[in-house]
Amino acid sequence: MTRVYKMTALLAAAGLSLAPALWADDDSTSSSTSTTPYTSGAATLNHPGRLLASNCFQCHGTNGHGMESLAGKSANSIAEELNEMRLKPAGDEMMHVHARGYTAAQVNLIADYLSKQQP
Amino acid sequence: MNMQQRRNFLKTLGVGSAGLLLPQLARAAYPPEGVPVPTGAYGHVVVVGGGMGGAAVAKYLRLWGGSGVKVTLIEKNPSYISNILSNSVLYGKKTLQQLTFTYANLAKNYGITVVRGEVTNIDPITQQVVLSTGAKLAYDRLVLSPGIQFDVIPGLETASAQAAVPHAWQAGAQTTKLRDQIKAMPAGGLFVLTIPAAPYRCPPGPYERACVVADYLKAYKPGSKVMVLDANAAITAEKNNFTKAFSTIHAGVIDYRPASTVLSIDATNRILDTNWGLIKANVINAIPSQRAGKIVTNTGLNNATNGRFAGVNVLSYESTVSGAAGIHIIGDSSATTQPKAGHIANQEGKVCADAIVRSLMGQTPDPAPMTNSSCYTPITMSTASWLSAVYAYDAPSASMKLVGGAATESTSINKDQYEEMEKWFANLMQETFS
Repeated sequence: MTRVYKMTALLAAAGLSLAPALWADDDSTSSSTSTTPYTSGAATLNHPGRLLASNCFQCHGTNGHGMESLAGKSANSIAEELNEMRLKPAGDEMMHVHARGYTAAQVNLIADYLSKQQP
Repeated sequence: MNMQQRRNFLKTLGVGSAGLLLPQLARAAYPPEGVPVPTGAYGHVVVVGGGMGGAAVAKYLRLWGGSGVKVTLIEKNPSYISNILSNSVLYGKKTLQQLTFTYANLAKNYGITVVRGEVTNIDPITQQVVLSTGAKLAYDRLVLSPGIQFDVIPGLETASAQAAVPHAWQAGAQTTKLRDQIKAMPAGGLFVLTIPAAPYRCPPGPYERACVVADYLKAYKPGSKVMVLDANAAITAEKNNFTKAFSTIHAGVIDYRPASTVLSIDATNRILDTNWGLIKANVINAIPSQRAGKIVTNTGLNNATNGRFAGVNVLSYESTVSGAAGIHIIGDSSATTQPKAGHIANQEGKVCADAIVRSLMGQTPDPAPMTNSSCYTPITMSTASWLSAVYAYDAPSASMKLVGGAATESTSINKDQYEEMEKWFANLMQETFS
């Protein structure tokens, strides 16, 4: 639950609010019964990390369904991996360049969004 | 924007009551799982141009707009031929067929109405686009993603001259034509590539082309040379890798000449008149300077880069021309700090879609959007390098700024990266067109 509170704080800090649900019906990504604000299809749709996470989609597929699929991986593991990559030299690893392009707060939003997608 | 432009832009088009009879390319079998049927309750967005930006913005407007946003994508061609990897057609690794993507999946999976047609004018007052057939279509928001048009190089005014000296900078018939010309070159021949002053589409692309053509000629036309006449003072993108490629991998084959001027080209005799004197070539591949697509320049939206491209607010990609509220321009036609390239055009499409959906719901756009640019570059017929960059919105300059101040190049040029390039391409095209 700690993460949920952090996320909410981030939202407030970024001046973002959760928009009312656009979709009346659930989308196919909804599978969790968790009480976090982003788990229903509609809430995922309006997740504040939506646009940020979409930067991953060109290579990792829409909502993380693509190369080295990220959809539904735990938020902690995605964030940890990105945070490790940020500290490494770029070398021939393109992801190291991408990872260091985002702040820790942005990484958390991206990871949370991807973790909420159905694998 | 001058008065004439303003008049052109705002001129009333005599919008009549003729019913809309648009040929529909494909209509969705609907609804696909997960994406609700569009009711248009929030609005109807018309997207003009189905390239990397247009396809992405159409898809994400539907994905993120839910039932409220109806989307019509208008494209003049029956399918999209990718510019990305089109250099590999020149050395026989790919066919145009393998680079062709239809709009069927966008229609079927996202309920996008795909219309084949050409938009020739915009009426911003009644909010309608006009097609070449005279048909009109109303929009609540309009997104233009028409790519580029080419300037004419002196000497290449006629269609036959342009056919004899293909630029092949828009994948299609010219790509095949250039491939055939290279195939027909004699051993010991000269291939001359001319590069326009930046900004142009795909900054590393011309240097990549010089490299792969050189590699092909080494293998199949021994003794041939590639002369690169670059209008820029230095290599404009991926400088370390191309410098390495020109001076070591393709040393003795590529003759790179920065700060070059091409005065005119004699297409019949294949002679270039340049600041280096007259140069007789076996094949001339002259890439002309470029400007925003016709619909942008015809409607006075080309208010940036000395009238060549469209100024936009990068929070939403809405035009900065007064009187053009609700008109957004993405991809190669827009003037931003970001490169004109397909990978980032896809992301510009998503930033634009997000801003439009929010706006239609009465919200404001994300105040801090991010984008990224990535591309793999074949250096030989079997090895590749890459270039990558992340951009963040910078409020003081109201522009997208490179995080870390610079793009990053791969340190190596190798076969593994050539294979990664194929995966990158497959994923990027899947994400954009499916």
